[in-house]
Amino acid sequence: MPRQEHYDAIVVGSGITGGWAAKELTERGLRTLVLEAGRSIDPENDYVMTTQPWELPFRGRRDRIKQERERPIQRECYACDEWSEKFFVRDDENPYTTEDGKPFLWIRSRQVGGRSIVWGRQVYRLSDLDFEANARDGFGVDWPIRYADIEPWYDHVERFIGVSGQAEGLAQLPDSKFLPPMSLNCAEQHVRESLMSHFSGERVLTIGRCAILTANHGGRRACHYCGTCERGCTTHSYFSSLAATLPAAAVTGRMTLRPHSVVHSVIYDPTSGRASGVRVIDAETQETLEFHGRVVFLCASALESTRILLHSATERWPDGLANSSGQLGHNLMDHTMGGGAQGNISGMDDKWVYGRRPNGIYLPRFRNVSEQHPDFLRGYAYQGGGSRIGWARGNDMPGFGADFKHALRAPGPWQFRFYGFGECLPRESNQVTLDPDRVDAWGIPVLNIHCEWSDNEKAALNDMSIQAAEMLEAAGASEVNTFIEDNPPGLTIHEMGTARMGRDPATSVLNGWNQSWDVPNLFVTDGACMTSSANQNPSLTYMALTARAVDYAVKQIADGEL
Amino acid sequence: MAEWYDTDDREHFMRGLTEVDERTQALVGVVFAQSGADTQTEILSGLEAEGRARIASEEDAPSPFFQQFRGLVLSGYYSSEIGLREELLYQPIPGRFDGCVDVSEVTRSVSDGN
Repeated sequence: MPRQEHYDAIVVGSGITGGWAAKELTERGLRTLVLEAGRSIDPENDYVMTTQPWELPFRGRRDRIKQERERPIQRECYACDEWSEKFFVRDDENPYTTEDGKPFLWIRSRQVGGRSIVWGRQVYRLSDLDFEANARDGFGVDWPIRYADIEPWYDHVERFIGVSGQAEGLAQLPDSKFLPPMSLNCAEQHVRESLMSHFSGERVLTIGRCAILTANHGGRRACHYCGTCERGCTTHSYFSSLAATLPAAAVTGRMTLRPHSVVHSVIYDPTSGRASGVRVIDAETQETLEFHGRVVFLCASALESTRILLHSATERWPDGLANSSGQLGHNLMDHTMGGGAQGNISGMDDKWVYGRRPNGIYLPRFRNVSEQHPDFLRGYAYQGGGSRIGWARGNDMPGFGADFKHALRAPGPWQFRFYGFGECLPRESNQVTLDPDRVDAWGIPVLNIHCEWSDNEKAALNDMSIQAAEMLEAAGASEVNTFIEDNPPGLTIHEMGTARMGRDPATSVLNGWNQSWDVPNLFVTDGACMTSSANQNPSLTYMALTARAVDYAVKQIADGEL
Repeated sequence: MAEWYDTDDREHFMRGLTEVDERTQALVGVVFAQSGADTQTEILSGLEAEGRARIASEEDAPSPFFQQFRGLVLSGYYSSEIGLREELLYQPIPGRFDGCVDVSEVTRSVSDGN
């Protein structure tokens, strides 16, 4: 009989949603166990914010041979560099399978803080344009919630994490509770004004909305603009669970955080019809442990939470726990990225920027907002911005010697880039299953991932590039070049779906409170729950849904329902 | 070179390096390092022009030796302590962001993301 411990609540995962579940549960009085598969992170020693390139063996250009061996998938993420690769899993320990010619890049972290240590920090609300999307065009099932249901929880989350941005009053991208915005640079201000007049206010270029502090907030310090957040921020200026929610949970005295705890499965008790806890493999000792709790929150990331459920099959649910609907594992989504254009902006060569802003521009969705585009459903938004290249342009410049070097002291021309991120339709055929032939370093079956873009995503990607060029031309840019990158699904690292919320237990895994239809004390609040993808960066929505689900669960407990 | 380049890039680079000496020998009878600044400039100008022509004519050509070598010099120099601290404007912690300042206030190219 394995050793057993009892808690009020168990949270699987310590990343962006696990941290929120921990904070909200403990602040409501529940003794909560947080299980993290990876190691502890100590910002003092692990963060490399101040490490200079000359202190690294490869000067920041990465140890290519080591990455090929240990992280051949993770290295595809820009942040998995010579400074920060330690914040990503080793692919040799964490395999998964795909069909030949149909790659899916699964970028992962296993550590206290999860991917919130290296995330992109962009935060955008969804609107009813998104929550009504499936009902409108019939792809996927209807969301069980609308904007009004989540709005107070967006407020709640934003007030705590700190979101900088500019209110624009757009229906398709509701404003957040903002700290002061970071400023647009001169080129971006010029493009904003050009688009405002050329498109009569329909295309609004605004500063990126990001979970980075522009003023001291909640005991964390304002950004110092060093520009490389993914190396870890010792002033905690960007939001991570490690910097904010986990400390808040710890302060209550009710959190037990257990690293090196790889969750093997959820334990289902057929007598009570509930989850009684989770089975864990200690990553260091390989010992099997059991932890029991009154409620279980899966916050392990979309595909890890679904993998745990698939691996928790019972007699009643042979295809995965809580899978009466048969939808567990299906409707996998990611955002497309990489349709866009760039060009040069003239007339402001005497201007530059001071400091390195860890944020760019955002141009919210304008397609299929008021009229239907003939070629595709849903929409896309752009990130990107204006910049002047420094010494790196020397690679494409003629010359060498002293004059060449002196020329590189001045900045290059202002360049502007629109880089699109598009919505992905939910489709049953995009799915994950357990691979019967392969296990990870802890003996747990790995996922087989099948995910492909459809013609709808490709048509939107194409339109991104055309519209980006049109907007650059409207802003008077020269040397405009369009591009359409061929990025496989997964690389945007917005993977979501596979345990969707819905209104009907026959067609969805979770109800409108992120609660399993089948196992009432089991909640899934990470990206797995998403019913559609929208085109906005999704983490803010995951956080708001988590806080909302905890509030509901605790009230249900108080009412004797759970 | 040994730990970063793959075999093809490494051989391409070493062949290019040898060729620089061979060309200089043929022109002035000594190796590149022992030739004067004028000869060195002449050799490098020739290599650069040939490289640029090749980049322009072949779509997927490997980076010609001169461009490959210069790329290494650029990233090596601008990631070194002297390159970052003395040649560029060294701003490890700028402390603020201003999106529109006069170039004269910045004076030197800042490092791209380091």
